[in-house]
Amino acid sequence: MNELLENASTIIDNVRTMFAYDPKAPMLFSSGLFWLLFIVFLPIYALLKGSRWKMTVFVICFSLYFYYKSSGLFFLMLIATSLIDWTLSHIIHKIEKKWARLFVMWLSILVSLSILGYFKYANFFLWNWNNMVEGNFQPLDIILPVGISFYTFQSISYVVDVYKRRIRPTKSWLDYLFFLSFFPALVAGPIVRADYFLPQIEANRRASYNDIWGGLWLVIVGIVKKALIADYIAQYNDLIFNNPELYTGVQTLMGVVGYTMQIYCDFSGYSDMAIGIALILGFRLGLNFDSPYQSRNLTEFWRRWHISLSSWLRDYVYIPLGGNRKGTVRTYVNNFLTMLIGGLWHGAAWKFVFWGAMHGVGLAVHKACKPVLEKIPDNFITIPIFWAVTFIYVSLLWVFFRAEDFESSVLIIQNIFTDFHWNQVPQFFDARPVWCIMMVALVIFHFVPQSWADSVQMAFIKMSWILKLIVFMIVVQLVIEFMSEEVAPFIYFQF
Amino acid sequence: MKSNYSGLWLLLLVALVVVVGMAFSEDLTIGSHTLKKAPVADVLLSDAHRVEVEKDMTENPDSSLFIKEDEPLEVDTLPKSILLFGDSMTFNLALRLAKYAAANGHKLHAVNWDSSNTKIWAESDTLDRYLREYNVDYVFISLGSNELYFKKPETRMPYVKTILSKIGTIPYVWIGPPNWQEDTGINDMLESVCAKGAFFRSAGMNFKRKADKIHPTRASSALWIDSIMRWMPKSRHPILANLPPDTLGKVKTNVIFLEALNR
Repeated sequence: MNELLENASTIIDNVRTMFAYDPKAPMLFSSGLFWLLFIVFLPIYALLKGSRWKMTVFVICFSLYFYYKSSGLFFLMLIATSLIDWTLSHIIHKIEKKWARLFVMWLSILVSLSILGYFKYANFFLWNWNNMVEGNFQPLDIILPVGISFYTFQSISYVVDVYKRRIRPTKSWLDYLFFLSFFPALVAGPIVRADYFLPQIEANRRASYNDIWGGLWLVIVGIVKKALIADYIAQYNDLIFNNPELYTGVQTLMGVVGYTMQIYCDFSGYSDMAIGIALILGFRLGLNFDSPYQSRNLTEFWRRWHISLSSWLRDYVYIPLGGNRKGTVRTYVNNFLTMLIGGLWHGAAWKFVFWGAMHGVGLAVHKACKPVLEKIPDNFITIPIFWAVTFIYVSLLWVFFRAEDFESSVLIIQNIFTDFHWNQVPQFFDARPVWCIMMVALVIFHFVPQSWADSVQMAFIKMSWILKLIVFMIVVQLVIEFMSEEVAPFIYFQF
Repeated sequence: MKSNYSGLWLLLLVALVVVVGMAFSEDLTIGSHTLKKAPVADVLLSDAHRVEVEKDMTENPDSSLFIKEDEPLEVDTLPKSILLFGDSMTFNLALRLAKYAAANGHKLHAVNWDSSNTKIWAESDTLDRYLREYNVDYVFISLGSNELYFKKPETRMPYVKTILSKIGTIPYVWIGPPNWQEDTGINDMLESVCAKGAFFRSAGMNFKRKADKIHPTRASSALWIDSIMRWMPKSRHPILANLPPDTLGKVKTNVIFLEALNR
């Protein structure tokens, strides 16, 4: 304590630095800083909840600060985007002539996509252009604002929904800014849809007892998935993906399976935290992951993986392209194009385009084979076969998603198929028992029925306060025990 | 506050008090395991640590180890047992350095410890072990990349000092991190602690990076080593560093890989 008093000025200086904009230290939901601020935020939120206007302004201010912490003055761009979209949505709503409404809608989409295109894809296109003309490429010094891909998709869906008269534009600009900047979903989704979220702002429903403690449970589950599991298994996976030429087929296979589980725990863990925090505040963001590796075909996988993105792509890309209404060939092409865009959304690199394209091909093949597949009965032989084929295909495509380049991806897959020796499997289990146990546990938990997971959540909700505290403290201490000095960023932060 | 939130708020507050309290209290041991503390004290008192370190630097006689010398020595033509150690940059550096070693009569041993930093190397006995095992008489250090963004890089100074103490009187070159963005002062700190002519500043060099935009590619790492070897005659303790001929075939590189730690 004396040390604290002696260094008061240093502490004040450090606290000031801690709260200032730092692109290298975004405010993650698993960070101490976020929870420190949330402790201050929560009682004020509870007090202001009675007045919708006051609550809205307060949450917007907090959300903008949350965004400022990781993206600095780009929070002004978020405000500007919301203002432009909101104004244009009102113009669309008021205009009667269809061509004029269409024009304004496209104007709004163009503005949103131009901003996204500049920040996310400018260097990618310049690099490719220079490769084509054999020019000397000097990348532009562009900082990618965190979460721009997520909120841009939200704003596009809002404007399109207003154009299609699915929703009315919000009366107040503040309501729209609240929707676009809502901090739990701001930087890494889920991509919230206006028709689902705006009525919740209007209703200003108070969070129930079950919402609050159920939300905390989701946060705990998310922290365990991200900070304990994903970060731990990542250490081994990184070894394999960084130097694939050094490892045997067995080691490489384990690294690939490991990454398959890592990306799930990483992203779904973040989603759980976001959904949980929103639930604590009385808002529902919807389901974003539904045990995706239980899927028995690729179509089912995309109904369970990153649901908010896949449903967005279905509603705002696939269906407008014609969906399955324009014949078999067009259906396949539309599927392929949609997944191609989905791939490009993940990052400005050819490897993401390839990853998306191969998912598109997989979906098309599944659709083509569907009449035959539907005739095959579900039984204890066919179910595991379909599951295994889907899991292997998804896992192999994750290799292209994660590996440094195409050559490394090919090398990794080649290793698995040409350098695999069964006698090395026991050696691997001997060498990495904790990693193996964690992976087996993960697979088992992944196949636990949702009703069981709901029962555990309900049991937590019904626990006494002191037991809840003990559970929470155990998780916090585990995070501290496993914490790296540099907290690993969420994989999906970069998108 | 509305009653629905009071329970949650109290729970979070109690958790915060416990975590902060533990951070400033004595170590708590359960069985044989000492519980780790949240880095609250490190975050709040980092400047105070710097003051202590600076005080220590001036008062500790050991710091004479790092006193700068002006005169570079002549080229040491004896074959060396070289140890290259450090973070994940090490492996690609080792591939090229092995060729220089083969061409100049040295023997290279490399230890690549993924995600490692000065603290890890300072606090473990890994370096002592390999220095002893390989009877090392020249050292290359590739550390600092995982500390580029530390808000207070000066807090890493004690670890750098410890590493240099372990190396003792063995000549060394500290290869500075290949910055992919501006650092917060780690290069300046390393340069200030290393003996004059023993720090190679890589910041400012142009690298072709891997897809992670952090690690230089293998080809770029080879050029990086070439630059270091061209600079070698100006270093504090130059050794033979002639460019390996193109006719030199494949050289076996002895690299030990250590896994990243949960720290």
